[in-house]
Amino acid sequence: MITILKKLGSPKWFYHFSHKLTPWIAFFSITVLFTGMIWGLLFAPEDYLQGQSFRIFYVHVPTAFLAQSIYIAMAIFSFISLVWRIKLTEMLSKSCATIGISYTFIALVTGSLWGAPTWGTWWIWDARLTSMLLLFFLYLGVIALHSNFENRQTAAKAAGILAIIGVVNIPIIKLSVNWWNTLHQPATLKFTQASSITVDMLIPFLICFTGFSLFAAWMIILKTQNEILIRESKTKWLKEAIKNHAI
Amino acid sequence: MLMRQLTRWIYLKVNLLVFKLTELFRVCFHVLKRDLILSFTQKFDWLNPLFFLVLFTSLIPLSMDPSPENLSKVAPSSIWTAALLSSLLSLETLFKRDFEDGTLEQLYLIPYPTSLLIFMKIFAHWLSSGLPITLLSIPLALMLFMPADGIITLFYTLLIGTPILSLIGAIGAALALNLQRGGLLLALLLLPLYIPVLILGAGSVYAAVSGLAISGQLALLAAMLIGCLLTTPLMTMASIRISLT
Amino acid sequence: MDHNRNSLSPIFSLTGNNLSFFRNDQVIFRNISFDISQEKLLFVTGQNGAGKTSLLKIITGLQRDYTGSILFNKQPIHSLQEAYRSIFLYLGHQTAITKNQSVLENLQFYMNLSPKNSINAPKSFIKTQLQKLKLDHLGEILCSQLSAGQLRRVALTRLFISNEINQHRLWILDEPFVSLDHKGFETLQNLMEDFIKKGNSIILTSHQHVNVDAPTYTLDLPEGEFTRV
Repeated sequence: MITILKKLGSPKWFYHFSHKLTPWIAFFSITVLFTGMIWGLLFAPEDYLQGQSFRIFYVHVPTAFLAQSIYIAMAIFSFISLVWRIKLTEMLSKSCATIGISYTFIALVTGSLWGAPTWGTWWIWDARLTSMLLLFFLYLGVIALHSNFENRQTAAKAAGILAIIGVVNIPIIKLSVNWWNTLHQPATLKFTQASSITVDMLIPFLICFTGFSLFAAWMIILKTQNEILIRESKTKWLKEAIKNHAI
Repeated sequence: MLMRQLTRWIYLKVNLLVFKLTELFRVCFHVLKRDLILSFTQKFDWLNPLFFLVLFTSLIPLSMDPSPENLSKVAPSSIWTAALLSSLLSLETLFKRDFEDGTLEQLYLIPYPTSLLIFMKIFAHWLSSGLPITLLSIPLALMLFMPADGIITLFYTLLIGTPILSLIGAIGAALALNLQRGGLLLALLLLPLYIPVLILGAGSVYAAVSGLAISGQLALLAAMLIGCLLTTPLMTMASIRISLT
Repeated sequence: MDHNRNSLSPIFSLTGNNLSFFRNDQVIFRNISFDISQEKLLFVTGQNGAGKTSLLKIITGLQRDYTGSILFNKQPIHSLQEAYRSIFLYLGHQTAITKNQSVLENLQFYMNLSPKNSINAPKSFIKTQLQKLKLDHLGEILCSQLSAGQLRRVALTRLFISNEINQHRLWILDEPFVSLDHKGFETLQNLMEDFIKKGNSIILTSHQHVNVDAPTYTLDLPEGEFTRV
């Protein structure tokens, strides 16, 4: 088990493998995302309660969901690198942090944009938006640790520990934020009742979701390749690969 | 004959166990004693966070209309935020000096369970920061006109909550040891992790003031404390090792 | 004092196999091996930045980012944990002396943290040990008032204590002679000789040449040549 992990965890193997993979994943993520966006934003039916503003759902929900999933993935990568001391997962985990915080930011902005027509205000201390904001802060801590150490390895370890604590904290945050929200229910603003999603909304949503997932994977792979180029710059295999134009 | 051998065997095993436990207890006691004496001789280590607490809570009435009904409304949130921040401020002294002079390295290499010794350090730190913060919060709550129900709940939530803050904070303090400007980064790392404690702590006081049940929230806080007691010393140990190498 | 304890206690061996160490993704040393048993002195030499301190930290178990293995009595040191940590004393670059406590308090703290011993009056015992490095007049002084050389000598007093109570089998010393005068240097050399004669070993880095009458090995970093002198 560990030997397989060690083999798959070698930056060299990942670099060559991902190099073959990137054109495909790039092609698919762009096409799928493009199709999904066009379908969702132009052709999908409008919501009977929220009208056109509902369309931001096709961006907001996938990014919000992926922001959380990427955090969990980041913690898993960190755990693997801390326990089995695998370098590649350190780099993957660092890439996850950057992509994850971007998705969190997009989810926050689209959430706030969505709030303007539906709640009549740009920001509301609603349980889900607040949780998203806290997720943003959690990501911020991890990134701060990554950039404050001179030694990349130490940084990755420190950030890894923080990511693992953060992932344990996420359900506790959700629980407490939900309770806090019911305790101080804002009286003036009524939440929109849940809209039911029909099949012709669901299909473009799923396409958008796949598109955003592929795009995140693509970006994480690119970021990791970049990280490998920096950290392995002194190794023989990388110098040879550059010489042979395998880049 | 067999019986006698068996009792002798059990006797020896129990003796060994008792010996090991007393040894462990002795070492833990000495770590605790040293840290308490040190923080006592370094008066500002434990007084500074308390001064901060008093100053911060005095800012609240000065920045608003200080009528009793207004103040009692913001009292739970102000005092909990102040306690949380002063607990955060006190963390810098937890490992810093021992790290700089090399004592932390020696403590790490002592032939006893390292996480237990680290736990004793955190416990000593809580006794000299978290506990005084909890006690001082009561007169401060009175100054902000918090009703009696709220004050009792405030005391309980701080008593359960400040050890959680110290335990989680110790990980951050250990991670930030090598950094020059550790203080600000520490806040950045720890405040997001402190949020559930703040929500549950301050929320319980609000709920108690408005006559709602709070036993569920206190139980959740207690569960968090137990979880932290079990896991954070190990993670602090790992973080210290990262900083030491 | 029971000087025969170690001659009766079992033989020990410490082996490092193919140790490689990387820092910032750069090789510091590669495939270093060594093997010492009792009554040996291992002298780790090399330029600045060759990884001497890192190697010592690897041997203590503090630094775990290496490949290869370190075996104590044929068992990996990480599986032994406390049993391994109890046999050695490590003194690093830093003195590990708390500035806000007196000399006696500092040394007493370290004595309290070691396994129970037969010393009945620790205070007068420590005072006797302090005499050996001419520190006995400083017992009650706060360490913040001491000079660098004095602080170093306070830290080294831990070695005298360890030697007297036969507490450790191995000393791991990182530049112990820094800021010592000639007299202190001699005293420390004699102490090391005495310690090794009892059946113990020392691993040491130093910029000064050490002349100890004991089987001496050198390990030259980063090449890792392990030779008998």
